[in-house]
Amino acid sequence: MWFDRASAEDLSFLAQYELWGGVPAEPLRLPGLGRYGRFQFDARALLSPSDLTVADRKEVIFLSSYFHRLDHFELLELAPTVDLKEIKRAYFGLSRRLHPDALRGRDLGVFADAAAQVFEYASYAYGLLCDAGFCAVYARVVAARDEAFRARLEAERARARAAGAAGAAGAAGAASAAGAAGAAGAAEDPAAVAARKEALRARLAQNQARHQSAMAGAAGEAGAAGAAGAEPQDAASQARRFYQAGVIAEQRKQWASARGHFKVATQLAPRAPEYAAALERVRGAMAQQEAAEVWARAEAEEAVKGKRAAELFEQSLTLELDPKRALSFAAKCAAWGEAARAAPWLERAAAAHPFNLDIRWALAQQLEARALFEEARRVCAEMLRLDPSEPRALRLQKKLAGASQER
Amino acid sequence: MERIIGIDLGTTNSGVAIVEGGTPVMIPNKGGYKTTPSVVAITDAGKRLVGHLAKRQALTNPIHTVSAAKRLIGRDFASKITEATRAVSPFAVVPGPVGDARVELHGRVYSIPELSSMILVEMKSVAEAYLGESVRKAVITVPAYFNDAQRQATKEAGELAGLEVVRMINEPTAAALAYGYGKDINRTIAIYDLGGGTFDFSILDVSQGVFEVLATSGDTFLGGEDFDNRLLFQWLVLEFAQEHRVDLRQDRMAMQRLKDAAEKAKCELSSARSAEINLPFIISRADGETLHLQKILTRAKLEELTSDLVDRSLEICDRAIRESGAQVDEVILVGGMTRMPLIQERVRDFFKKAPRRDVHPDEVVALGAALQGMALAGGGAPAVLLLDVTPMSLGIMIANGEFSPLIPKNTTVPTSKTHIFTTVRDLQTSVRILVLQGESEDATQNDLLGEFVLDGLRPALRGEVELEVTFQISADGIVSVSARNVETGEEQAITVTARSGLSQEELRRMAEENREHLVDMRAQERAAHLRQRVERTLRSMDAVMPRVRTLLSNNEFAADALAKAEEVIERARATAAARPSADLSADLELLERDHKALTRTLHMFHTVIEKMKR
Ligand SMILES: Nc1ncnc2c1ncn2[C@@H]1O[C@H](COP(=O)(O)OP(=O)(O)OP(=O)(O)O)[C@@H](O)[C@H]1O
Ligand SMILES: [Mg+2]
Repeated sequence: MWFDRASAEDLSFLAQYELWGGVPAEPLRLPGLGRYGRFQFDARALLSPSDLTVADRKEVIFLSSYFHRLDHFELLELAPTVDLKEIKRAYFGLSRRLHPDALRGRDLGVFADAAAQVFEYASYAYGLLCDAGFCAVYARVVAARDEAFRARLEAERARARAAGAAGAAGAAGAASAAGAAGAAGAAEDPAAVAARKEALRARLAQNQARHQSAMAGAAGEAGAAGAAGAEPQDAASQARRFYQAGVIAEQRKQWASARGHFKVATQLAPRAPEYAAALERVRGAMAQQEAAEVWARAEAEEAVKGKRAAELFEQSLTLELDPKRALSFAAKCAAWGEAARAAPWLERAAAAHPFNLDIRWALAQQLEARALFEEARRVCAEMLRLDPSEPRALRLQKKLAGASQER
Repeated sequence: MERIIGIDLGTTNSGVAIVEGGTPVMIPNKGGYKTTPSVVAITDAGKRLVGHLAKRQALTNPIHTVSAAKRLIGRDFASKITEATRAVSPFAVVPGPVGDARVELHGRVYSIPELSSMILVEMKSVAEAYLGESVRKAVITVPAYFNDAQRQATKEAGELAGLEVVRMINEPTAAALAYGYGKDINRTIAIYDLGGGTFDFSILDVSQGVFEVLATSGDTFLGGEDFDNRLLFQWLVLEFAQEHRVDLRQDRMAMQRLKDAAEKAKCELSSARSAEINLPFIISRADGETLHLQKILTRAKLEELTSDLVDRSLEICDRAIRESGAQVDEVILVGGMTRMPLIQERVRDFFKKAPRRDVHPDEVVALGAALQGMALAGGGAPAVLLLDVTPMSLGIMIANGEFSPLIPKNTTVPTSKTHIFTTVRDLQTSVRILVLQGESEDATQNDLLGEFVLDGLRPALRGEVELEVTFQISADGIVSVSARNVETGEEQAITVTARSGLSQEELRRMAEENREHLVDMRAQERAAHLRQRVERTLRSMDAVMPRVRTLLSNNEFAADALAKAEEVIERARATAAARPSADLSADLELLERDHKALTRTLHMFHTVIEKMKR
C-alpha cells in the first residue's frame, strides 16, 4: 500500500522506479518509540549461535522482516533529507556493520542470508538517494506522508478526547466506556452531520477530478489522445487509444491507471471482447496485489500481536482466495484455538480449487477435530475420488469407520 | 588469523607490504630496496632471473629479457596494443593458442600470467624471508581501468605463484586507503596515478574509515613507457638517422642501451634542467666506422615531446569529474611519473590546487594493498572498508550489433542485474549471447569477454520467447553471467573465464553473420531506445550541418545531396517526435529506417568534412 496523496507529478516521477519509488502509506516508526517500535523479536532467533553482536542481530531481523514496509530513509535510520552528507554518514555506518567485507571470516549462523539481503537492499536504496533528482522528490513525498500521518494521529487523539469529554458529560446514567462512546455518537447535532457530509462530498468531487486529470496525464504520456482530446474522434479509434495506453500502463504495473483506461475503452466500445478481457485481467491483478499487501500487513499485525490480524487475513482471502494462504490461515486459527473460524474459508477454497488435495485434507482434519464425522467422511470420499490411493484420506477414512463402529 | 600480504604488481616496479602493529610497512628485498623491477629474464644457461638481477643483465641479453609484461596481460595477439608493444619490444611476442599474446624466450613460449607469476613468486619470497614463515594469501593490485580479461589473467598469475588471491583491488583505491588510513578525514579526494604503463584516475569520498569510490577512469596504455618511447623514437633515433644515416632500430642491443639512457635522462630532468646522454660505441656502420651517441636533452625538449601525453591524462580526469559532478577537496599524486615537474604543474593548474606531497608515490599502492589484506583477514571490526566500483559498462550485443549495457560504469561492486531479452526472428530456436565491456554503442568497438549459446528454444514468433540474462560483478571486478529461458526455467551459466580468443575483426564479422542468433530488447524498450538514438544522432547532425552547408555552398553537384539530406533529417525528426502509435512494430520499422538513413548521412558528411580539410 503506497502513499498516493502527493502531487501527480511527483507520483508519476516516482512510478518510473517501480517498487523502489513507492513510499509506504504509513510511517513505520511511531513518534516516541525507538527504532524498532513495538516490533517483537523472536527470542530464539536472537539467541541462536552467531558471531554477530546482539545490536546487529536486531538490526538484521528488523530490516529483513520489515523492509517492504520501510521507506528508504527509515531503512537507513534517517529523517527525510536531501543532505547527501547525512545520507552518506548513515550508509557508511551501516556498511561498517553489515558490508560483506566487514563480516568476512565471521560465522553469522542463521543471519547470513538475511544480513546479505538487507545490505543489498540498503545499498540499492542508497544508490537511489545519491541521485539528487530522485532524492528531492522522494524526500518530499516521505515528508508529506509523515505530515499527513501526524495530522491524522492528532485528529484521532482530538476525537478521542472529545468523545471522552462528551462521554463524561452524558455519563449520568451510562456505565461502560462503550456506552459512552455510543452516546457521544448519538449526541452529535444535525448541523454537524450535514457539514461533515458536505465536506465528504467535496472531497469525493476533488478525488474524481484528480483521478481524471491523472488519467489524462497518463494517457498523454502513453501517447494516446486521451480524455482531453482536442478534436472529436470516432469512438472506436478513441477506445483503441485508451486500450493501448492501458496496455502500456499494465506493462509498467501501474494498475490503477491501466484499469481506468480499460474501463473507458469498454465504455466507448462495449462489444469489444478484447477490452473487457483486459479490464478483467487488470482487476484480477489488482485484487491479487492488494491481497498480497493486505496479507503482509496482517502478518505484521500478527507479529506485533495486533487485534486486527485475523480480520486482515480474512480480508486478504476475500480479495484473492489463494490456496496457500487459506491453508496458512487455517493453521493460524488452529493455533489461536479458533479452528472453526477457518472452516468457511477452507470450504470456499476447496470449491475454488477443486483439484487441490491439501486444502481438502486440512478441511477434513478440521471437521474431524470438531467431531463433524459425517462431514469429514464426505471430504475423504472427495479426496479419494481425485486420487484413490491418497494415503492421508485412506487413513482418516479407516479411522472414521472405526469410530462409527465403536459407536 | 592468517597473514595476508599486499602486492603492487607494477609495470616497471613491484612492491610488497604487510601491516605490523597496526602500521603498514614496505618489505625490502635482499638488496635492501623497497621496490623490485618487474623484469624477468632467461639466461643462455636456461636460468631464470627476476628483479634487479634480470634488469642488470638486460643490456647483454635484450631479446630474452622481458620488462613491462603487464602491458600485454589479458590482451589479444591481434590487438592494436599488442602490435604497438611488439614494435618497441626487444623480446619476441607471439600468438598463443587462444589468440592471446605470449612471449617466446629461448624457444619456449610463456604466457603473460606465467611471466607475471615469476614476479609474484619473487615478491612472495621477499615477504617470507622477512617474516620467517610461509605466506599463502595476498591482496594484489590492478589498474582500476583493467577489464575483465586483464583481471582474470592477473588472478591466474597469482594462482600460478601459489598464492590465494584473497582480493584484487584497484591501484588508485589502494593508494587512497594508505593515504586515509589512521587519519580522521571527511573529504573527497582525487588520485592521479601515472605509473610505468598505465594511467588511472579515481575520485573517492572518505569518511568514518569508509572509502567510497565515486568514479574511476583511465587508460591501460598510457605511462612512463610512452614517455620513454617518445624520446627514443621521435628524437634519439630520428636525430641519429639524420646525422649518420644509420637506423638504430636494426640493432637490438643498441636500442636497449638507448632505452635505458632515455629513461635515465627523463628521470634526471625531474630535478635538473638538462641531462646528458652519452653512449659511446653505440653502433658500427657497414663501412666499419664506429659511431658514438652524445646528446644533451633539455627539460623543454622533453616537455615538448610528451606534453600531449599529459593532455590525454587530463582529458580523462576532466571526463570523470564532469560525469561524477564531484567537488574534489584534495589531489594525490601516485606513480613514479608524477615526479615530472610538467605533470605536477599541469595537475595543479587543472585542479586549481597544489597536489599533496606527503605520500610516497612508489609505495602507497602496496601499503594500501596490505591494509586491505588486514581488513579482510577478519577478526573484529575492520579499520577500513572499501566500496569500489566497476570501471566499465557491462552488457551484451543485441540485434544490429548494438551494445545494450546492463550494468553502467561506476556501479558499486559487488553487484548484479537481471534483464529480459527476446528473440529477433520468427522460429528462432537458439541464441548466442556475446558479453562485452566498454562505453561504445557499437558493440564491435567494445571488449568481448566471452560468448555462450542457449538453444532448444520453443519455435515461436519473434519477440515471444523471453530470456532472462543475469550479470554479476564480484568485489574483484570479475564478471559472471547466466541466462535462463523464462518459459522452461532452463539455465545456462558461464563465468567468463575462458578467453574467447576472438579478435575485434572476427567480432565484427560475427556481428554480421550472427544477427539472427542474437537477442533483442522487448519491443517497448526497443522503441524508446531507438528514439533516443535518433535524437542523439539528430543532435550531432545539427552540430555539423552549418559546417556542411558552407563547405558545399558553391558546389552544384552537392545541392542535390544536401536537399536529400535535409529531407532525411526532417523525416527522422518527425518520427522521433511522434507519439507511439497503435502499431508498435510499424513504429519500430519507421524508427529503424530513419535511424539507418540518418547515420548514413551523418557518416557521409563527416567524410566530406575530412576530405575538404585536406
Ligand atoms: N624522478 C622521476 N622522474 C620522472 N619519471 C620517473 C621518475 N622516477 C620514476 N619515473 C618513471 O615512473 C615510471 C615507473 O613508475 P611506477 O613504479 O609508479 O610504475 P609501476 O607501478 O611499475 O607501473 P603501473 O602502475 O603503471 O603498472 C617509469 O616510467 C619511470 O621512468
Ligand atoms: Mg603503479
